[in-house]
Amino acid sequence: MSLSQDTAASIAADIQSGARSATEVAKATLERVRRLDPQVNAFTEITESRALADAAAVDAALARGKPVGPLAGVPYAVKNLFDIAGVTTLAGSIIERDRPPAAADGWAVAKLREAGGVCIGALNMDEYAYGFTTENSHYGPARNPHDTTRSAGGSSGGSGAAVAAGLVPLALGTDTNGSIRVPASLNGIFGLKPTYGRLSRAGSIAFVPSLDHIGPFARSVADLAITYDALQGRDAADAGQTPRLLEPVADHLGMDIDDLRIGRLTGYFDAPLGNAARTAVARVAEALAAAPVAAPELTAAARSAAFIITAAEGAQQHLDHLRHRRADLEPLSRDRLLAGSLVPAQWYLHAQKVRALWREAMAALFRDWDVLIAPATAVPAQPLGQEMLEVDGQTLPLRPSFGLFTQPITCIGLPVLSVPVQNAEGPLPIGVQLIAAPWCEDSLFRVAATLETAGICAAPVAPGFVE
Amino acid sequence: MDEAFDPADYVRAAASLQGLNLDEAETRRVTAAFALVMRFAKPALDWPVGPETDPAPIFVP
Repeated sequence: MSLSQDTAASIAADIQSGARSATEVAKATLERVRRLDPQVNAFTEITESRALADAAAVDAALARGKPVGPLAGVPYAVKNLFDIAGVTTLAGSIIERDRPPAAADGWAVAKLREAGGVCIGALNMDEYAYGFTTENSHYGPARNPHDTTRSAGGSSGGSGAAVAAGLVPLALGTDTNGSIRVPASLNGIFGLKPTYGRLSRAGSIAFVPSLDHIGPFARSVADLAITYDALQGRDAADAGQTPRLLEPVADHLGMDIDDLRIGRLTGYFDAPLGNAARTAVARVAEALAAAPVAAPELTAAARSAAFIITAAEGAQQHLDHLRHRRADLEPLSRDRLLAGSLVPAQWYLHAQKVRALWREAMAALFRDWDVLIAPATAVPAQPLGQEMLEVDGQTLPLRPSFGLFTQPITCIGLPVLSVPVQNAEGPLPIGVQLIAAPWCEDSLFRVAATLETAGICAAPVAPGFVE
Repeated sequence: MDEAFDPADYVRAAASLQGLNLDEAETRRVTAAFALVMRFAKPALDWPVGPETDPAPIFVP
């Protein structure tokens, strides 16, 4: 198998055994990224000197017999809202280009380096993470490796495209309303949005502080688990992080799931769905013998609350830009940010109350269920530039509709693992959400590993990028 | 909501309060965006909540 299709785990094993060096892997990865990235526009910066330095450090440690981390020599890249020392953190904007390069790695980047990872570069995204399609007017759209005329999803679209195209085995993204799960679904890879407060966001540019999460993308469950485990740890620099002991999951992957009560959310989550999404959810539910579970009546209100909170908090983050740098903001989100800045406080507080009721309703559901299944997106990847979505007899505005099934879940910070289903209908992949109660990521990984072993879910490199 | 509510009037007044100084073209676009916010906000705003429901986060001194 070529490097592009290797898993992070196999690359790390090869490097630790001496079968290949970290420098050799880094050079081959950089060559592949330079050659193929123009097809998908996933990278906004290639950090060649950093990558070679990270790789040389791993090789030197191995040569001295020193211990190296579980990601020794594994190439990865990060959404360009994470600080990489020496690189200006863009968050998809041109406004941020005026800032000096980051003085230090953000928490997540530092943790991956500590684990032996080799940072290859920064990845394309919707400006300030406000979008579901990564149609970035400043840096160009991220393109879907399964069909480059289509969107890679967003806002972590570059992360999804880079992993699905086999440019890197791992990437980091962020998820406020679905920005990990939507690109994971549209690019056909695994993506994890952990419990709110689990992973430190320090050293990343915030969008909606009470909804923002960071998380990894990968093409195998084991790679996702190794990366997630490496990212855990207490960081006082993120006031939103909840102090918890490390709860690694990589050792849980082989466990059976007989003790888990698995349900499929119905009602709100049944429509509107395209055939691919319907088939994907049915395949996963059947494989897990999942029972139907009625979604709480206020699910639509919860999604709506997430929308209000996003509009208000997101606009507050950028009020200064709206006042003084308006012309430099992304045209696709500028008017939405302006509108968000005008949301009455009463609406925001009402939304917070709905959020509290929704949290109680879902907590009640999780007394009877351990893992719940729901679609990640209503449809697979759509053509770039498309404004409206026809699905299930409904005509909807395309961009916000990608958050239909993901927003209610992020609203209360539940952990979600998006698993990819290939060929559900046609050649494009689509994802399914596995949802658990707060802090129960281990259950999600066990279920995802079971689905992967059974061949229900898989994340091969997109066919046009296999070498 | 009051049936006489005019989103454009509201956008003009609230934007001015926020120091945003929108021109007429911007006001039209932002009014359309605000109408979309109103549409998406409706299911939450229509959901009844009482004083007994504490919104998070709860302030702790």
